[in-house]
Amino acid sequence: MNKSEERELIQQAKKDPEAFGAIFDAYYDQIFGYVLKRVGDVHLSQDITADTFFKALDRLWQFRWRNISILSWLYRIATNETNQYFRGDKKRLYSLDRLLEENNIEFLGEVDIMEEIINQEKEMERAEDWIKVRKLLKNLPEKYQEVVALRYFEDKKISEISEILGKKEGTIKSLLSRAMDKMQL
Amino acid sequence: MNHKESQFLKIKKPEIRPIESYKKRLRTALLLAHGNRSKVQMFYHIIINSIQNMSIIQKRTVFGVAVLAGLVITAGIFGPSAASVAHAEAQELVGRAFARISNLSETERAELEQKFGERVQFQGNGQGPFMGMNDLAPEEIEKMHATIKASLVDALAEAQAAPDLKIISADEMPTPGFVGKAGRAVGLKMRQNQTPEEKLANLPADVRERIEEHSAFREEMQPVSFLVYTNSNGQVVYLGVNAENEPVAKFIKSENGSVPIAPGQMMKYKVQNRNAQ
Repeated sequence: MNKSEERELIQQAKKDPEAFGAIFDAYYDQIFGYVLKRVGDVHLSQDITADTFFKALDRLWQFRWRNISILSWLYRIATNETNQYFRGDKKRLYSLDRLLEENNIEFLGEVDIMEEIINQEKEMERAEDWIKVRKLLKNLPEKYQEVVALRYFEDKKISEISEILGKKEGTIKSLLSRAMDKMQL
Repeated sequence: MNHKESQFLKIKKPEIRPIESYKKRLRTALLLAHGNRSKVQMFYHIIINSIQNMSIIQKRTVFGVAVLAGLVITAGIFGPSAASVAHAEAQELVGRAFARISNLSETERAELEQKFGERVQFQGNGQGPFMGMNDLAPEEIEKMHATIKASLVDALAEAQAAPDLKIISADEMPTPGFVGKAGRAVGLKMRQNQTPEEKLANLPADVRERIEEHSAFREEMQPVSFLVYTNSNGQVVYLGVNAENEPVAKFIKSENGSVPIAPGQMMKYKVQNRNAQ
């Protein structure tokens, strides 16, 4: 999806939430992956990501196009949601279970979903480096966690992190440098 | 890029496995749940979105209209009522009148006091004509003077203390109750220069002089506005104030005949009334 298509899609989604489905399809995996790499729990990451997308849909009317992909905005919401979880706010507003229950939606069979979760958990166990870094990262303050996760888990450029977090590039560089000093591999 | 950073960039991260079943369900649930949300909220979002898409001028116009509407509503809820504004204006006039009489010299004040006293009129009952101090027996004048607050300061103090005090202009003054001797005495609603210029020129000099004096007097004592209030006896009082903020006339209108006239004077009033009929 190029920027002009994305812009058009957002305008459409502001009027018709169904159009938001295309944004969800395009970016769900990336946002889920980011949350998962920070949180390290599939179930929890699914809930935080669900929260992220529900809030994005709910607040889409506030989104103003500044020639920056909506993905940056989704990353920012996901970062805030994840930080909130780490601060001790464990209450998830929009888990899939809750959404299904509140809206009387019933899907048959849970086997496929369970299988997906198990596969993902196995994959995580194999990523030893990441497990080590994540452990170190957990002991750092929030401001370092978010820049390190975006830079080294998501491979984002400094300029992209700057867009996502709404901080100056110099600040991002400085935060990364200090985070490196604090972490020993 | 330093060594440590390159080490971090090389770390093996977990791959994200396809989670299509979950994703499909979440997508459906998300859109359905959102669709079930309040229509009011959606309407609100559309309004805000429309404002966001407006030009600065359009936004300013919308903002201006919203502020204006807010002010009107706030003023309607918290602002002073018409009655309280009228009361405040009347109190302001009383204040100006007090200031005016306190700035007069002793002589000027005594002169005004006398003229005002002659122009204090009261009504025997709702239908009867107005009476003045000159209609009272000499022994009753002093008592009545105090009772009906016929002095400048007392009249203003009484007006100031009245909770229903308001102002009306001379044009708004009700005329039916102010006909007869009292009405003529104060020149209220009296047509001026009824005599044509030619007729006036033909009159004897002393008569012309008296007419001119009377005209000057009438102009000086012409009320431009009236302080209207109910006194402690439940009577409606009209306190006339001229262009110089001087009290120049006072009418005490009794709606229920309870005007505080001494019994003897009431008899005199009744006799006068009967003779007039």
